[in-house]
Amino acid sequence: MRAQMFAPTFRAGGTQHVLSTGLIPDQGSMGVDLSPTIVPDPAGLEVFNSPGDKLWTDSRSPNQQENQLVDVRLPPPESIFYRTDEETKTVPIQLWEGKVLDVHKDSGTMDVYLLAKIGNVPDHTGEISLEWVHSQDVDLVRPGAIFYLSLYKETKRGSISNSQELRFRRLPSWSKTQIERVKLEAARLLARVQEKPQVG
Amino acid sequence: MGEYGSGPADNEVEFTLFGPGYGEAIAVHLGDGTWLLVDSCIRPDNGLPASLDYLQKINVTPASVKAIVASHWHDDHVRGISKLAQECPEAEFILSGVFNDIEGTAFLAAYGSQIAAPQTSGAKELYQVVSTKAGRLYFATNRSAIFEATIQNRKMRVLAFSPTTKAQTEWRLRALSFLPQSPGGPINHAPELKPNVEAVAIHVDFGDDAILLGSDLEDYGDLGWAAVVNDHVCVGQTKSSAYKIAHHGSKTGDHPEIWTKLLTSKALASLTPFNKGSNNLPTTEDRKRIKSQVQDAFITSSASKRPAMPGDQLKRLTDICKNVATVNSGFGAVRFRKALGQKTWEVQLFGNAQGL
Amino acid sequence: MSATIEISSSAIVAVGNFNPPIFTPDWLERNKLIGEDDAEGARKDPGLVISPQVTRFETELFALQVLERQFALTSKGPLHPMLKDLAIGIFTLLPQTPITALGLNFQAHYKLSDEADYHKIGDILAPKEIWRSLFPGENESVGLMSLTMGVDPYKRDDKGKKIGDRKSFTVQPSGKVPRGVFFAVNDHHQIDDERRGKDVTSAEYAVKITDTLWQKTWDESMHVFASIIEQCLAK
Repeated sequence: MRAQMFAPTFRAGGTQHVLSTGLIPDQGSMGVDLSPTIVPDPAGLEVFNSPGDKLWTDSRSPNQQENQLVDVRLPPPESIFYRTDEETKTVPIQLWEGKVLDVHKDSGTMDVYLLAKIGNVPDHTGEISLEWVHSQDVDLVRPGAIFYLSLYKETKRGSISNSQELRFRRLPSWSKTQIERVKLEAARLLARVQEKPQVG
Repeated sequence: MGEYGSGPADNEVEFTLFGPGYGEAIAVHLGDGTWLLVDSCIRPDNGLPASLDYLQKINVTPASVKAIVASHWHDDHVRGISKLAQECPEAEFILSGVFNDIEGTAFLAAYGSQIAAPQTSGAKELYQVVSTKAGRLYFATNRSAIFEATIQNRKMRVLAFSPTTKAQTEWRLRALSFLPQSPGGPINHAPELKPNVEAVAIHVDFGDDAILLGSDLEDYGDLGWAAVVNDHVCVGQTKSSAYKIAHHGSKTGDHPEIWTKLLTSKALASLTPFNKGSNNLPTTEDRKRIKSQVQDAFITSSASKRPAMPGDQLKRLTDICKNVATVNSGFGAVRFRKALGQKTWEVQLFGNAQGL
Repeated sequence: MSATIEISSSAIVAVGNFNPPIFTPDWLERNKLIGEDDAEGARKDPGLVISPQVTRFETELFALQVLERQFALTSKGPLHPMLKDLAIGIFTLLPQTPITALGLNFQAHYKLSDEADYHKIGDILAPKEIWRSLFPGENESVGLMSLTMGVDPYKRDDKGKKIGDRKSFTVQPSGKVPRGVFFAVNDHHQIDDERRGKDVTSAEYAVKITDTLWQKTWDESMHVFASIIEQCLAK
């Protein structure tokens, strides 16, 4: 991937372009007014694409792989032309956004409400042992807390394993500005609502 | 779910309870095309608020809805209520009096607005209505007259039985601990404070009969139902022959004097189930207790809890999570309808609704 | 569908003025935006850089790079809404940071079940007839390297200026997955005074965009990616 600087008025129409030092995945041609907020490519972030000089070939065009099939001792074509880097791949099975309904300290479990993020899966409830909670998240477990339960298949160095990650949502602390805004908004809301008369 | 048939005649009253496995909503017809909606839940098959879907199917226009009550702010009772309010702009919107204080509205602002990130969906729904609805917003507490009108030559009144003043104070004290006090304090998710003493239990008086809508009000010291059954104004109202059982039929939502002081003997009852991991309501004991008190009781869905997801997902999930159950395992509605002046309610069940 | 998603990831990129040395693992931990284990992992990251011009480090779940003019938070491992939460938390802590643009990016590599399907998608998206007529020789092969489509808002203001921002979708052959197709979406949001209003800072507006749109863009992007594959294969 190459670093690029965009000329300020490169785009036809003269739209001023935000100066950016972002690296654009596989961007070969100048002149396309690409957003400066496209993913950059910090070193090591290989999950993005790096097709290099790879062509998505015409299905009818001569396939070099076929030539190599002449010698059956060669490895299958895919591994020659589409060899991937050695890296961890994660294939999602399901991602649940969960809410803690109740915590049972005596039994070490929590009642949870689960909302599926992938596919058309209805909401579920269940009971999860607190042992599954990441040690650094233990203090975050309380009724109402939100967590994410990710179930996935992990491929590492050719070996596939089932993996899961349960992490609790972390929120920043209240800021002075936010607290002031809450107070102002509270007063505004209160002023909008009247009381119903009482009987008796 | 099939059609609901035709709507009520002008001289008929009805109350219909809608419920998936999580959530409930109620539509009440007072006569002469006057409707009251209480709480809201979403139909799992079409994503619409259940009451709105019902009214559309029986050809009732939004202008006929005179009041919408959010009996409390819990997620399972207010999903889609902001859409109800939006679709019925002429209706008054009533919420629990626990919010009738700066701490109460601060709770809504903190957890329902976008000032900070941790919006709780229930608070968000209420916040959306209170912050944007043009007028006709009201708080209701114990003895608040939510709605009054003369319909079919009868004085009809909808009265709130709760929350009491003590309950309001108690709730606010609890809510205060979740309000941001000083910079640097952690933003926490707002839990549903238990037991529920903040809910608005509602009495709908038709003159010679009434219905009692118990919301999720629980019994707790002298704050919840105990306060209601010892309130001479509440007890002095017309006894109800139909009851939407409080808190999904739980023991904590029950008080023996509800049945003796507020209801006619052998009233009809309806309730919604609640699937909650290890604890599903109503329990077997709850069902026995309820059936011993009423003429007949009905539940909006069978609460068949079988998980509904692809096999590989279920297998992986059950490695970590026990008692996996579908929330919206079925959707149903229980309708009680009768002509004014009649004693007997006609009961109709829709969708997954069935006898308890 | 005869394609399976093999790799998915997201990045939240902001353009503005940043002070890179602030964004350290210690700072994130102190403000409770990451836990102690994640912070320790970041401190031990051999690629950790903290300097006036750039801060960069990785944990198990994300990589953070902050330059003076650009902030980029990228997912690692399974894609998580935690990325969104972290971005929201960081921008919330620095409400006075000037941010002029925000991009919500999603990428995915899909593996096709067979070679014919893989080529079919490339051929449907970029028909080769014209190119083959120009380069018909046996020794030349024409193929799609990259396709980017912009989805612009339709509405214009009185001066004919677009109201809203562009989403751009990119399709490429995957360099990571055999017989794979790579998709990327950039949901770009310009943040200017007019849009955010006077009582809201640009960082707060960035929080609002992220909070309200990250999930929606994720859902939409997955739907678009899958639909492209399905519709191509159905032809």
